[in-house]
Amino acid sequence: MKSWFQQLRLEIRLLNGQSYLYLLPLLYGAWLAFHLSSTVDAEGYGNLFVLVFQFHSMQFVLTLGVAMILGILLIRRDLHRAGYGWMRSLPITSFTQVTTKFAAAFGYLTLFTVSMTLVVVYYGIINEWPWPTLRDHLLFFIVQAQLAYAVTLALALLLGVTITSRICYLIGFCAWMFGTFFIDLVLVTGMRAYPLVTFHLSQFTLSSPLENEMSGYSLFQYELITIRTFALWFTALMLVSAIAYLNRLRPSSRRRQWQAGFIFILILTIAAYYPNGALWIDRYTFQQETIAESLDLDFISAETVSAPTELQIREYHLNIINGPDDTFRLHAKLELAPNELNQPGQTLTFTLNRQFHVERVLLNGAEAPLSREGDFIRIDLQPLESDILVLEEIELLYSGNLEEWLVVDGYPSIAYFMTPEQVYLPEQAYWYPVPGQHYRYASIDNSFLTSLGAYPYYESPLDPISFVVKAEGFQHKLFSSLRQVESGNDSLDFQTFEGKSTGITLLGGKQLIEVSLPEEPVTIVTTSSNKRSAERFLTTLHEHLNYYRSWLDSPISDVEQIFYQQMNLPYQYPYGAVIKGHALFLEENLGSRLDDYTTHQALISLLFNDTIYYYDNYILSLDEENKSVTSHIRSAFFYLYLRDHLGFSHQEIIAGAYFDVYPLLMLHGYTNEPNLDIYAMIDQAVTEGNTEQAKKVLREFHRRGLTVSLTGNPYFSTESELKPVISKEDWLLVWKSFANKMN
Amino acid sequence: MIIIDKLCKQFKSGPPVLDQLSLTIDQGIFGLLGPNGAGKTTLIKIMAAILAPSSGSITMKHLSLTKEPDKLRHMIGYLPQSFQVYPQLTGYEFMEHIALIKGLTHPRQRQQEIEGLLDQLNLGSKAYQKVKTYSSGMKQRLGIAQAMLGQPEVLIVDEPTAGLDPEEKVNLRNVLSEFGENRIILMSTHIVADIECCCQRIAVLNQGRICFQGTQKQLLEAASGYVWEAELEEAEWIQYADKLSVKLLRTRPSAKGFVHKLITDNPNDLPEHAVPIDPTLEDAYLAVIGGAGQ
Repeated sequence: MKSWFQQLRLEIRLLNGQSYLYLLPLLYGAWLAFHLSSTVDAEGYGNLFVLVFQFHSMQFVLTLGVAMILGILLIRRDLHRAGYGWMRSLPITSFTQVTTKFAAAFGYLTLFTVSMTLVVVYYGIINEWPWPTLRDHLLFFIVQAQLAYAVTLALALLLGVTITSRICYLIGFCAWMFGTFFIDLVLVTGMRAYPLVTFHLSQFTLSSPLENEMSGYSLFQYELITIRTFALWFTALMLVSAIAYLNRLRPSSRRRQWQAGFIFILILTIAAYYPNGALWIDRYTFQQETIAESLDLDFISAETVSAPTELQIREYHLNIINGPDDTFRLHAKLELAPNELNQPGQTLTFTLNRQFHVERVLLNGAEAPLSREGDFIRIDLQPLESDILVLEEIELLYSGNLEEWLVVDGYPSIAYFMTPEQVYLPEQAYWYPVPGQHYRYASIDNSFLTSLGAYPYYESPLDPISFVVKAEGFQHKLFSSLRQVESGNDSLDFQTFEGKSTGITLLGGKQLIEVSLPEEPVTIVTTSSNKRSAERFLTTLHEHLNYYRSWLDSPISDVEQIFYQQMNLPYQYPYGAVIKGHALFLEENLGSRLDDYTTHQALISLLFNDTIYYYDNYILSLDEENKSVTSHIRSAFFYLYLRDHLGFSHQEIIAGAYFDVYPLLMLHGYTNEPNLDIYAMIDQAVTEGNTEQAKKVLREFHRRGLTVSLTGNPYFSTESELKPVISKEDWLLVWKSFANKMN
Repeated sequence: MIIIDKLCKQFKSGPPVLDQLSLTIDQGIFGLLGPNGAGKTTLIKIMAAILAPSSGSITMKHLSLTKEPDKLRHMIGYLPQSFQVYPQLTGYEFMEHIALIKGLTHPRQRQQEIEGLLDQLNLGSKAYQKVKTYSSGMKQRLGIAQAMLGQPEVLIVDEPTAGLDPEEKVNLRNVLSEFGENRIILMSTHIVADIECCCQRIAVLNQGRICFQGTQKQLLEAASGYVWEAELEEAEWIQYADKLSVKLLRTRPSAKGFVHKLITDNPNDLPEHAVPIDPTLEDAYLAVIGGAGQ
């Protein structure tokens, strides 16, 4: 043991002799600091976690190149140079030679991780990450980074030992390129060989589901454990191989032992891959089943093919309890409007996510036989006592956890999940039984698009219904698209949500925080990295909303909560936003930070209760076709804010709009010809001191309803319809009526 | 005692480098002579537990090289033909590292031994300077010092005086002679003077085989009758030069032409006036290489 430490001291001493090596971790830290500097800005743009992850998917990978070169250099420095051959006569074992080089180089490479840690701690504090969040995020990056260094270094040492000529450097370079960018870009992303991500040297790939702050590494915990276990054994295999190979080159009393050890470690390494391999088999089996049973869409038309149901549901009562074995038990009680169902042979069909195991179905309290076909539950109404059944109540008891891995639009992700640690259950996950036969996924009959997997398909099969949902046993507070009406002393005891909606979304996890302002009823639920952005966003929104609250009927909107994080929202138009119940869901991605554009998106949703943001020419063309000024009237609310509350002149507003200063202030219609200058009319009213007239007119239209509904998906159907249609005559009529009243 | 029994070494292709080599080495300084490619360095490396033999055995103090090489490495000190050391270390740092590796854990004892060896080899004043500032002769002496560190029972040196000036050569020979009193020293060299002054016993290696082993006196006796001298004019020499059995050792000018020292196993191929002379050790070595005494 003493000689091992002595050899280690020598290796460290020799490394220290290369002083330039110590510049590299400093440069790395400085680079990271520069990369994260945008989060320091008082405006607080940028998701710190995502930025750190993206840095690791590119710049960190370069440091693995350092590891590769260093490993080869350490071997070639003395083990392959004739002048140092005499050292093999010293009483140092091959084990000592290899492992001390590994330890010394690993210690050096740890400096990069230390550098990263210091920078992330600094920016984490600035971005007000809670300490548990900072700890968890750092632990993830540190463990992955260190493991990546260990694997790369071990591979480099093996290459250095086995390849004596200088071509070793080229082969090492190729190994590094293959194990990082090639696997990532060509095999995993390009050829969609997703299981090969296990062999990526660092797991920080360019389109990784781990990049999700809410449901990234915490959700993929099991997969990460399998990968890390395999990586550790692979590292051991590389080191043992190097030692065994060196023992072949000089007399050793332990040659056979090391050869046997190599075989033993090889077997263990292969065995260590098994859990990861089994995981991928399960995933692909599930994917194949899902695609095989998905809705086959023609590219041209999208038609709802749900089987109609005669059941009319009055109220849903949903109970979710996390059992002692961390398996959820759900009890769904559907209160129906009285239904007369004729027997015999009638079958009720429900759609429920196939990952749940249905234990019992009760019709009016009596157990009924059922069968399962994928996502569908068939309930056989026979045999019952009377010929006519008046169904008043249906109960389903089912259990299970939910983790739905799918390739969606070519990207692998766990679309929906319910575990004790975190939850994302939107209604399109069909986590509660919905009457009828509904397809959860669709695939397109096109070989290229089919190879992308499936995409979530959802037609919102329910009319607005009352929901009462009670959840118990979750480790973190839950949020919902419905209002929370009750909770235990500690919200982790239980939470109850109620409301009327077409469906319910539940989400929760330790990375979620709720940001609120005093005297502002609207809150925003997001991840810790978005806290400062959310505060700034909410402050701006509060200012806007207070202005509108002062002259619009109250409440302005049903929306009380905004959810902003990375999630797979339904494939519907428009993308990236949806209103459900009292919640507005905004999908976080690089392009949609909580900036002015997002503020205006939220504002439009809060004012008009839809997600039509008029950034699309097709919407404008529909307005133009209908000769409707609806879009202009909606935009006029924002014009009035700029003109009245902020005091900009008409010319300043128009000039700013041309330069896209106000992202959603729409100047012209589709044809770029103003058919009526609503803004000029409002401007004149404000100039003449008749701001109240403008407000009353807009309030009148708001009262009548400015929520835009768009039927059909404009990208899949040629028959889309946009309502309401408000003609310019309608506008002028109301304007003049309030003008007369003012006079 | 070192017992080498039917040692063979063959690399991937080509003839064996060592062929059924058997040798016994007792306490004292043992010289190993041979031409380039004879297999000396291969034999040295095998004995230093760097290379494994293809077959045969080597036993040192009842320990088998093939079965217990790790134990043997604790007994061996080795100086190679080409010696390099980490340039960024000082001489003392390097020696201290080797001492600790060899198990000299007691600090005072270790320091004393290191300083003693460095002084003995005239490196005391350079001990705390980096090795990259050393001349090639200094590095060679440092190599000898590390080989002697830990009082190894077997010291194996390959071309130990290479790169040393005459004064240092003399010094080293004295050091080795003193060091070899109670231990085995195997010295492989081209320089006959090193053998002459130090080695009690000698082996001559040629094409992987031992062609002589014994004392210096026995080597000289083996070459007796093989070394001749003849005075010839240049034109006369030409008719003898092509004879395969006649090998020219040395030529010096004389009044009548040149005096040639020749080796031959067939005196009939020589001029009539050629006379046998007493061979020097070098003459005897060359004669033995040429087949004398086998």
